Amino acid sequence: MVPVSEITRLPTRTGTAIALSAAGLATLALAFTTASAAVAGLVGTVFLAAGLTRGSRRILDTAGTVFFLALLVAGVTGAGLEALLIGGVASILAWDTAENALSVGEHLGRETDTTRLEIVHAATTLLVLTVGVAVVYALGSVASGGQPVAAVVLLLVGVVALVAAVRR
Amino acid sequence: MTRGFDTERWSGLEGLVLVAAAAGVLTREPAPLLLAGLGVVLLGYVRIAAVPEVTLEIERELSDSTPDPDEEVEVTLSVTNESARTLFDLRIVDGVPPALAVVDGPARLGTALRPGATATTTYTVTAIRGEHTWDETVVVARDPSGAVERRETVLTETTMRCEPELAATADLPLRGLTSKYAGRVETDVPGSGLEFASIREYRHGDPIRRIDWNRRARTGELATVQFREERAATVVLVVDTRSEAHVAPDADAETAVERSVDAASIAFSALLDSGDRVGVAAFGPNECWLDPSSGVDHRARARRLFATHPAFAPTPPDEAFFPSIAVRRLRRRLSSDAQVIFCTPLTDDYAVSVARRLEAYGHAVTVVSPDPTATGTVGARLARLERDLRLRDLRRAGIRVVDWGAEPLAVALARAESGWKQ
Repeated sequence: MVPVSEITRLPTRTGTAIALSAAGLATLALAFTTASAAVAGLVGTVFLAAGLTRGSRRILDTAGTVFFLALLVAGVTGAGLEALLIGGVASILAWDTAENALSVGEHLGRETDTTRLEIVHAATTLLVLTVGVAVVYALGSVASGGQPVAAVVLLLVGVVALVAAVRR
Repeated sequence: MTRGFDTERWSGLEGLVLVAAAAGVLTREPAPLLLAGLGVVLLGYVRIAAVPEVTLEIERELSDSTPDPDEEVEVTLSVTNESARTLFDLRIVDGVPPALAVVDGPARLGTALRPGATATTTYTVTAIRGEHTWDETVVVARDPSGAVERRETVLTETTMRCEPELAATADLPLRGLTSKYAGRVETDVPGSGLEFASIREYRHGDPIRRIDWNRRARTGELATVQFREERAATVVLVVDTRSEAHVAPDADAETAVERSVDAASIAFSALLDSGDRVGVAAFGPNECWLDPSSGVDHRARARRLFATHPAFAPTPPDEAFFPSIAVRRLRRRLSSDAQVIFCTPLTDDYAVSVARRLEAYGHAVTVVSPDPTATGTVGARLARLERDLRLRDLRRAGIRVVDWGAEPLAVALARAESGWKQ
């Protein structure tokens, strides 16, 4: 009989490459904030790589959480805003492309050419995040004129509630 | 079938946003608040996601829809986006028939499609005997953020028919049960023929050609030489297609049903060539019966039957099977002078009892048994021993058995024949 081509149900190579580059960028951006955040970013990258090799969604989510904690640590220690936002964008992109690579790998396997699909996905996410950063940054520089923090927070909570209430 | 649902890949994002906001409040730093703001933008993006409408046209093309066995067939699947919206995340898995093996290229496609755009994928399958119909193609479409997805199945009718030539590569010797027609099976009936049988007293009306003139010259008596009469047989090839017979020594090897059908088609062709009347039957949940007959039409009918009848499909049947009813029906259909060639791997005792019952009803039975056993494990060796015992049982009951291992059928036949009593 002829050998049958098997399906390798692991994260795709394109998605893995994009995710790891983004994670590297996030770690680099975090290195400009504080040492502990940089170390946490490195740990997050290691988790992400492990999740992608093992094809485990749980490890990927752990990596995402570690990145979030790194950003939070960098944020509360009062690091540079630009580096922090770049780190935020890069780490969200890393988790998103990694999870997408995992689901594409589960559906279609590693042998299928899915470059176009994954690049389109990464590009849309990046576009949305860039717009988001621009909006947030603009708001931040306008609102930094001494408004009470409580008001800003209440605004945030309100927006979250509103967004969560929107039905699809 | 259509359904859209949440992939839940972004669940938990709200919590992270609130944690970031809380950290901002407690430390009175603007940075965590900005992070929370970024999270809110992302949340909005995820929330506005709508389940994508999928209107696709799927076409499938085969490089050859009637290939020969083991020929490689190239399949081209092209997908066109017929809707007015771009599909950002489209994943397609083609429904390759279960019996066909994809040997090259994936039967899957993942891409983003603009309205009117077409994506194609090409893969290669190896043709095997049978009629193969492609299943539904599964389409999964997600919105750009991946928050919701829609699953659909699209049916594109494609059929590949692979009919092997019937080739008589081995001669199957028959047993003594024959019909009244002239043929090539030597019987013990004295009469005209080729092989000398006996001499008897002359009776009025015996042909002059068969008078023993030497004896007449020696003794003055008239005597008639008798030969073994040659007649045609009626043979029914019964193939064991029960799920028990769908076994193979390893995952890549041909199943015993495949080999049984091979043996039956070789025997069919050889018997038809020698002027016998041949019929075909399947012993399994899918009914199949071809009346014994001869001629060119009959050969064509049998060729199609072996190739495309669902009873001989290379995948195991799902239907329930009632063996005793099947045996009774088979027996009713067999004419009293019909021989039976039973192709079965003998993987259980029921096959043995079927052979013995048919033999007991007077149908001379020959069992052709492709050997599906292996020697890898203790269990496999046990199965082999059990099968050997079944073979011995059959031989003791006076049934001819051809034990067909990995060698060509002709070799197995020659070896078996030397052991049969003439």
